[in-house]
Amino acid sequence: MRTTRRKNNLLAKIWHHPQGQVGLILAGLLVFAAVAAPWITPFDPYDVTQRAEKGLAPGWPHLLGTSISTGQDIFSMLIYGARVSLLVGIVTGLAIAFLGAFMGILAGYGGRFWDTLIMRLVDVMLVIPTLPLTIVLTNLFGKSYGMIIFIFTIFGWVGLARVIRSQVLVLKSSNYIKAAQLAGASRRYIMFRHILPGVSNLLIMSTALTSAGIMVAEAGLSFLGLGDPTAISWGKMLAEAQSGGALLFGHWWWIIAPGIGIFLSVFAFMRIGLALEEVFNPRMKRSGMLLRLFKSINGSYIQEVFDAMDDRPETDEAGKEAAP
Amino acid sequence: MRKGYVLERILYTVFIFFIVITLNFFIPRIGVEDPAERYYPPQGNLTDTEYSIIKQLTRKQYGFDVSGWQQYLRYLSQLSRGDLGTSLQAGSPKVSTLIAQRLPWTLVLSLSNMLISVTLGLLLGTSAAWNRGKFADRALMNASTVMTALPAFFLALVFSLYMGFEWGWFPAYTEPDMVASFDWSWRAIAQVARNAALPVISMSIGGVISYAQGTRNSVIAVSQEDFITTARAKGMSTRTVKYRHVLRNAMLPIVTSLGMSVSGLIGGSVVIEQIFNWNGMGTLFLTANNTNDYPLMMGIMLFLSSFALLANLMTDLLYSLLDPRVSAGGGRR
Amino acid sequence: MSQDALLLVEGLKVIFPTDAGIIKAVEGIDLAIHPGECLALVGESGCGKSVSSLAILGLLGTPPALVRAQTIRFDGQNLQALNEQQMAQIRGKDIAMIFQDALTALNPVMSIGRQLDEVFLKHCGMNKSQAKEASIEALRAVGVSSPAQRYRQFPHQLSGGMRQRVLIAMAFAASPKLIIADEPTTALDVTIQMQVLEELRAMQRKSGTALMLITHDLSVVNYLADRILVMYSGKIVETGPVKQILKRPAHPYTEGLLTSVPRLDTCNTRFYQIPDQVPNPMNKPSGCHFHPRCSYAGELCKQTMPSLRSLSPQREVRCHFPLQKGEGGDSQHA
Repeated sequence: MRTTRRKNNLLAKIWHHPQGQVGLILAGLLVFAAVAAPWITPFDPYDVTQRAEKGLAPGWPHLLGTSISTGQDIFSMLIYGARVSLLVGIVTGLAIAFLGAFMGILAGYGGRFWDTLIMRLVDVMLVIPTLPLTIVLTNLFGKSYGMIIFIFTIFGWVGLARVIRSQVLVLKSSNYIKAAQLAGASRRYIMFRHILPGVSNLLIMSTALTSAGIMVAEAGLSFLGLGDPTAISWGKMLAEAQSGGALLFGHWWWIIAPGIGIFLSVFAFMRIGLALEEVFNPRMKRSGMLLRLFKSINGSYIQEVFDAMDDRPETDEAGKEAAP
Repeated sequence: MRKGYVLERILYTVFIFFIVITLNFFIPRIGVEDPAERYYPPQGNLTDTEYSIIKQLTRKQYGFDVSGWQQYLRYLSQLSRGDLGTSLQAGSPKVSTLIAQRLPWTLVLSLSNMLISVTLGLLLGTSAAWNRGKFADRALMNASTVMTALPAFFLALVFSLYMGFEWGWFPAYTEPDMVASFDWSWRAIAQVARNAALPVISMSIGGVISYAQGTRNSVIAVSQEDFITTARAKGMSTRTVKYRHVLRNAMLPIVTSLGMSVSGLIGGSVVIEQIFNWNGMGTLFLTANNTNDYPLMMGIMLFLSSFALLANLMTDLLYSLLDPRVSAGGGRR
Repeated sequence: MSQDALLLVEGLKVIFPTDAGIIKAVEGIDLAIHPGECLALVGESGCGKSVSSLAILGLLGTPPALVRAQTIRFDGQNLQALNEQQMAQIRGKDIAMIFQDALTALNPVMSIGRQLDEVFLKHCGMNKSQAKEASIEALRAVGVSSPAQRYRQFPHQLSGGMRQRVLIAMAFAASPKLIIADEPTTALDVTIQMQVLEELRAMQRKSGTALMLITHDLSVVNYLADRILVMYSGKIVETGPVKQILKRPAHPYTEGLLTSVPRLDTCNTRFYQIPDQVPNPMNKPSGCHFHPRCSYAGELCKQTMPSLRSLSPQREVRCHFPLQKGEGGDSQHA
């Protein structure tokens, strides 16, 4: 019960944050597009019988024209592309949050052995060139989105685990956890009752931001032809546009459309992430808002505030003037 | 900086290097029990004897003719002689030769990118921080929220479309004779600059923005520290406070992110190189991947990891020079 | 009285406009410090005492703060009329500051020697080698052991007490006329506190510097200060000589502060606490700001803010029903 109420509160808080609102609306639209794609697209891009004349310019009924190579409807592909982007982005974001939290808490609270082991692992992961290794692994294990999510997760937890670990170390030295330890609480109890709630804000925030980052990475990988070859994704659309001659023939819409798709999804999740950061960490917010307010505050109102501070002469004659 | 700290960092780097070598050996072997089966499946027009000869040769070529442990030891001894292996390309060139041919071209892109990102980023970031809340600062912050959501490779395509094809300002694809006819003449250097323009611009926009944002936040955070008030209370001039007290401290996190960009210096341009058909390490790696030239892939991976490791070591040492707290035992993270 | 004052502040007000409302940090305070005197500014955290001192020195960022004052006069100069550059000439040279937490108040990446040198180089017209000598001497003067070695060390390599001594040395470096010490010993262990306080008192007596001591610790006040100025929620509630106020407080708040100090010389085992907390500076109570926490408060206290009235030639109190009868006061407790 309590958690649902908190979650609703959180959503409401993002909604009331001007930038978070933009993010939520955009993300909502994208989720709608992804879920309702078969019903809202004018053509089925997967259906070979629905291909039109190749290389049409934007118009009716092909709102964004058709591709030069296959004659697929670009607008429909754009809508379908949201599925891959959101699926890979959100699932990987969640997976990284779980793995990162697990590793971070284990390193921070699991004792010296785990700490050393995990931090060595982190140092190794940091020097391994991510993109080349991802290329090698997708080549070895086959090109599917499940594989891509797996590989992104394997590489993505490192940064989060480090942040979580340092947060856990701060928590561990805090008095209320020491008090709980003295009171005889078990490690497991402290872990779930104190440590996990203590890092949950960080986790929620980073899930949104990681998802945004993963969406960019997925687009890049699909662009290199390492995504699922049968699915429609924005990165793959860009690759097809490039190899199909969109640049050469000046078919800008074929490039801009998937670009806007990538931009909107990444932008939406970044906004949500940053809004969460400010909701959780109001000190950051105040500094920004303060300055905006400073410009708009009314000079005469400020004067009133200052004037109101003065001692008002009382009926009593023993005023301040009587002081030597 | 303590000598002990330097030694400790170097030993630790060597330790991690061994782990990286080992991983580099094993990862490409995951799922590949027999390269002969994987890359040369039986074909109908070959007799069994012919096919077994081919399998034999393939195994030898990929180094699978001995047991796993022997392969590992062979790999180590080969590396200890400074030999990164032999590519499967026609003519069996050495991996190190191929890397040496391609590395300078990648460095042209990534070093110019880094130079632009860091200088412009620092300038924009500090001036935004010192004019906090004013027009320039807000413009930068707004630009950064938009630009960070645009991936570099998409920008590259757009630039290639307009500045390359439509308006013809810069070559949209690398001119084929650029590498072959390079002779250090001014004409050749100008040609490289012309060809590098679009890749570098599309890479550095994101870089400039992220350095500017990082610098701004760091400068603002340091400006609010107590010791800045102390410096001002001592009567230091605004200039001294800014340059001697704020900037020096604000640079510390920038050095860390600089180290991270250096370690990604060579591996970070794969997609951009692919778009512009640039003759660098990225395209070399993609070719190796497409042709299953995995001695070459392993060689490049190891080279990239070693480079990153070295960059991290340098960053740590530089950082400890700048921040006395680190080498004295306090962590920097 | 105000003619020969070294520092004279009249009607100092500081507010912080925020999106949630306006924080009224300082609501018009008057104070005067005479040469060689030690004035203590006392109050709970959040009462505006630190903000006042930063505002006097022009160290508050504007924005976020807005500062107004009728007078801020130091040594015959109107500080409000000076620009940043002229203020910088006064800071460190004529008015120096000692901050609370020496770890955060010292630049972590500069050796303490260089940080001390800066003062000598800027204000005393010395060259580098002279500054170094002077810095080492200054460290020795505040009781730092092996000062030549410490000179090269960084703040994190020193103990808390040593760091605080460095700050004291830094403040006295250019022999200023006034030093503002903001909770100079709060961050230290009790035993170290005493040593640092002794150092501070010795330095002050020796140089004849005026001291403005900002603290919530009445034992520190008793040890160092001549006069006391009690602040509550942005206003001065009581002022007068230390001995008189500590013995016979006139404002209920001062009394509360005094009785919440544990004493060894009485057998009272009950430990008094002022109920509730300092009011939200964005939304202060009507009338006397202290009335919700005051056990003597009457109906009048809820409606009108009392003005600062004099009890005796040296004492002033802001209370409708002061606990001490002065020559001017005629009120009785409700």
